Amino acid sequence: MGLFGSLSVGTSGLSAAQLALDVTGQNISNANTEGYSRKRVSVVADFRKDGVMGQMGSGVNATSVERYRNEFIDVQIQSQVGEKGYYRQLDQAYERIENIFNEPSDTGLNEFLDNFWDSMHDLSNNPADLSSRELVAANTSALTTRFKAVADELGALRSSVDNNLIAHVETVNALTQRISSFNNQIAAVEIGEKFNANDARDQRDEAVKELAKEIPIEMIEDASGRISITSNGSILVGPSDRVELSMYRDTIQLDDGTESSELLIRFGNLSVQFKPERGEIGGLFAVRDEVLKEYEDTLDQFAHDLVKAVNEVHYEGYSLNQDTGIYFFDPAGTTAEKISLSSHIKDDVSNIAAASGGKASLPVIGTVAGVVLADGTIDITDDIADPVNYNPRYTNILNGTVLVTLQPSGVELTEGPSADYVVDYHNGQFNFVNGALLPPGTAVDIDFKYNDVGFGGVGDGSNAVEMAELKNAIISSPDMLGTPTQSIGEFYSSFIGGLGIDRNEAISNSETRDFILQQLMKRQDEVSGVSLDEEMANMIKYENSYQASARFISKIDQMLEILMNL
Amino acid sequence: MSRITFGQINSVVQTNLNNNYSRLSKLQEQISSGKAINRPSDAPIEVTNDLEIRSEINSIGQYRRNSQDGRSYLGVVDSTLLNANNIFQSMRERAVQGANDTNSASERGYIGNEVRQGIYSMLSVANTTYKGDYVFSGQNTDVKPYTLVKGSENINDIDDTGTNVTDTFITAAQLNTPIQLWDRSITDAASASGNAKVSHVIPGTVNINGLEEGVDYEIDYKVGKISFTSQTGIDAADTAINPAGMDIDYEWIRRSEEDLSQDILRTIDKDVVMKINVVADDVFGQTTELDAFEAAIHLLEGLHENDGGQINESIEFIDDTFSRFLAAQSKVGSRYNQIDQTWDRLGSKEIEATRIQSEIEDLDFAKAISDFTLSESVYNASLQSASRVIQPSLVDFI
Repeated sequence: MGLFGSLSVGTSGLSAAQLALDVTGQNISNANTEGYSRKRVSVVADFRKDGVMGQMGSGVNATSVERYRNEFIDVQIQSQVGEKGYYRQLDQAYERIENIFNEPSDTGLNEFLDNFWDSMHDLSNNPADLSSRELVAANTSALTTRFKAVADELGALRSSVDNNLIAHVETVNALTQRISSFNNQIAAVEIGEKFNANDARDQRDEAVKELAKEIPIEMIEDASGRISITSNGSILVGPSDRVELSMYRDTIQLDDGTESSELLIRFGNLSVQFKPERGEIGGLFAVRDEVLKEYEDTLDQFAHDLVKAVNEVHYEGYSLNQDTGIYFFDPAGTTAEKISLSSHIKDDVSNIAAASGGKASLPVIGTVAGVVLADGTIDITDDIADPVNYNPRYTNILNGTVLVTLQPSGVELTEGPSADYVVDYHNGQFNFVNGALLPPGTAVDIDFKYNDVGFGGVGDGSNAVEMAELKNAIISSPDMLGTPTQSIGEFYSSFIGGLGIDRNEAISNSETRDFILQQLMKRQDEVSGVSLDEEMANMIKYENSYQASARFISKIDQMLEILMNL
Repeated sequence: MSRITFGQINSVVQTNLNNNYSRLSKLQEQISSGKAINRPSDAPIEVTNDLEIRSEINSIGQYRRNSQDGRSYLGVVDSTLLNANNIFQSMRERAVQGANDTNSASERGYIGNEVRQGIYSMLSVANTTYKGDYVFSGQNTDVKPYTLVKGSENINDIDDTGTNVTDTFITAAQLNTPIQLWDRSITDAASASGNAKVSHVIPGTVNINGLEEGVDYEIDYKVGKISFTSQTGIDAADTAINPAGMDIDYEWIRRSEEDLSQDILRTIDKDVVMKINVVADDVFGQTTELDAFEAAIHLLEGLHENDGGQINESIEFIDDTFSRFLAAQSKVGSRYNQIDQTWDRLGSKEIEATRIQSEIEDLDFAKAISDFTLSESVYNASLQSASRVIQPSLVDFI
């Protein structure tokens, strides 16, 4: 080998060192770039056939620039980011639901419900007092307003989830667009398998990871370096094309004739719809169709139980004006959204049925013509037909209204144990004690007044007590046999406890996925992360190698000079 | 040996700092709110218990208010009964005083005036109210149980059946036949006159134009019947005395014909209902027996008519009234005690429940602050170690 040949050996060393320095510089520059994998120059010793030595080194040859990356870990990361995104959405939703219910506090439904029961008690203590009736109406309005506010806020959460879904689907479309264009770049560079499109691959991997965060995916790479991505078995990104996703509202006719609309994701123009079960989008769907639905349904059930129980008792009671058959809550409003006072109570609080008995506007006047029975008694019976008893007795005869006259003479008889007759006012029975004047069979006429129903008066608050005591009544959450197991308050308390448990579960799932994900990222970083110390050491190494090659060339130069000066 | 890169250290440092900081912020939230529980997820089971204990405390408070109200009500009833007792005590003294036949008719008249005042006082006692509700009216709290009514009747309008008769109805044959006074304000289709009968007329309040009681007419005060004993001035032809027919003026005590017998109840504890009223029948007597007003009227009648025997008789009736008062008072007293005990018991229950609520809800400050200090030093240490481990690099040495 001549000296010129030695020069070329030195030159190859120079250019290899320079290339390695370039790559080191690139690594240092991208030390903080998300998704960047460190690169290295792969070099081999160059050689030629030498007539004397057999094989002789002719310098160094940089064959390629390669990236460090463990693609197996990438696949694991892709599935974990999807899991994490799913639980992150659930956690965020539960957090907002917790804020909406705002328990335990002095402004939650529990407090308003307690105030409602309390005002019923106060009403029972002062049933004739309009201000205690106003208080019942005011506390009930506060309760129904709170119900509506909670329902409205849950509704607002639902529509914000809908908006989020649209934004996330747009993100997916942008990502598939990017992946598709990286596919083309990589295929163009790597044609003939001569070069590596390292940086494009880094960025495509990053985009795929972002995509896996949104929606569950499957990925395969073909020989040209292009990847195809499917989700739920349908192609999102193909070797040469891609499919746009869109939100689709599917309306189904239910068996009972009503329509139910379901929100789904649609693939391009294909009639393929689906609902992802993982990823951020899957999480949003779960929030929308499972979590929110469950909480709205339970809240509605709570409102329904309350309306039903209170209305049942109230309907039987009597108002201050002695009307009955009035609903306290609007019977049509059995959801949290619609619960409200009935229009009767809204118009006039005296319509609240605090009393459990009513009366005719005036005592009813009864007249009975009868004969004294063998035992000296006479029953005064109502002429309402009673299939069991034939005629029920008049009860609640009013003191001082009884007039008994002998028939047909019209002689007025005197009441009293030592006079002509005595009266059992409560049971409606007369006992004739003057046997001489009134032997059995004597015809008498009895006039009297009575209350036809047991209305005590405006001071009757017993129906309000019954409504107030519904607080302790076991009327909610039926078991498998349909027997209620909890009071309304207990139902709500355990519902709120359930909310806490649900959120804790979402938090712990989200934290677990986060931890796993971090471990995976760490492992990937061990392979592909840029270590500045390493790069600095490499830089010194390549710098020295460059200097040495340069020295070698200058030594050859000196040798050539000596030769030339001969 | 695994490679460690700057990026790894960075992400580990960031994650741990974040964890430490969120622990600090959680403790900070607890300390600033003073509550161990701020949302259901902080402690789901405790939150369920907390909501239930809050309701429980609310219930206890309400039952306590109900008891308090019932106790005040019973207090009013009790002092009312004491008043009634005092009035009858002095009436009994007047009766004993008046029964002595050494009293002249006019002396008995003076004593009678005092008794009449006593009857008026009794009326106001019987119409005692608590927060505007009549306490002896049962659930008809807006109904006055006993009313003093000033009645007036033109003699031309009545005979015993209350129907209008000719101007010259009092004939010699009709003398000494009692005629009934009618309560014209109350309709009663069952009676012959279409009105209710007057009873409990107060002796000494009857005035018939130009006639003299005991000479021209006599009255059965308790049942409201008048008999004429002389034809003087009765005949319509005698227009010199009664140009427009005679007016009968009188005062009487009407007991409301509403149902006064219903119970007033207070729910003083879960499933414990207490009757807090006593009804008019139990205090003043039923209309069918000789009631308190009738006893007083009997006495006043005796004094008015200077009848020592009747005065003596009335002492017995007054004693009957006393025994009714005493029975009512002992009932009220025992209920008052029971309600008072319940009130006390609810008080200690409330304290206990509040203690439990505080145990669930309130923060153990000492623990929270020491936890906070610990977390703070952990956070500081992690900051310091992070700054040391990130700082040095080969870059610094070449």
